[in-house]
Amino acid sequence: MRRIKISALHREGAKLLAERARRIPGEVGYYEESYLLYISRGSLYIDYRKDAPWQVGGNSDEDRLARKVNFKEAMRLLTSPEEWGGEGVLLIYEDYPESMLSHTRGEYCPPGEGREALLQAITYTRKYQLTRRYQLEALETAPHGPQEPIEFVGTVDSKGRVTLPAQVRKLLAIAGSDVVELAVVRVFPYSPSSSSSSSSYGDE
Amino acid sequence: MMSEEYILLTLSIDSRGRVTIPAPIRIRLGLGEGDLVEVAIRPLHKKEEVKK
Repeated sequence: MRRIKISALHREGAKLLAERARRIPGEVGYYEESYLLYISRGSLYIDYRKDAPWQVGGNSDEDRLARKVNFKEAMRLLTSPEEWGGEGVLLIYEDYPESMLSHTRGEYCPPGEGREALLQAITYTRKYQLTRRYQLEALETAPHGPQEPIEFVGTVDSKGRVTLPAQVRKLLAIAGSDVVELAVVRVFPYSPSSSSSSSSYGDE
Repeated sequence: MMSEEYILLTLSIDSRGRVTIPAPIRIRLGLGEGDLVEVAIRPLHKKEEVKK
């Protein structure tokens, strides 16, 4: 499993966040008001609002990297947790300030794309966090499979199929030919424009 | 944008652990290849029970 590292533009903030993350079993990141969070290639970056590069014009490596972050890519990674290890649970501040999003968009994101991408990333991450916690609890309390539904996010293939993750099949104790009840909770449409920029980020 | 419609389906799992969302439902939801779909799932019948 690839581990997620935490970086931050504000050193005191990084120390604080790292300390908090260590105190929460299974958690690798923490987010609260005044911090902006994003993921790139398995790394979790946290930008402290008051000293963010768009305000201070910093030229450190971290500043340059922050400017290159692609929010579309962050969203893609968030919706494919297996790509970056999938073991991290991210805590997201729920009332993300609108003013901050609009202010951030012009600096970090392609015009008109950043805000929606980040909102989707936040939505998904919160759901993933809840789903994963539920699965872990279910695993502990119901060794023969939970009675309540399990939620997960899957990708639809060209024939309309969705693969049930192995962990879900194990938790529900289901296999081929079993019949399941499936509720479609939400659809996150794939946007061709989001994948076209997937390689244009980072310093690597 | 995200769909808020809630649709309940009864589906069987294939040998590779997949479920197929029927075409009419996919059309209704505007669901296409590569889209991410959030689903809630619970077992209805085990294979042995179905065969009885």
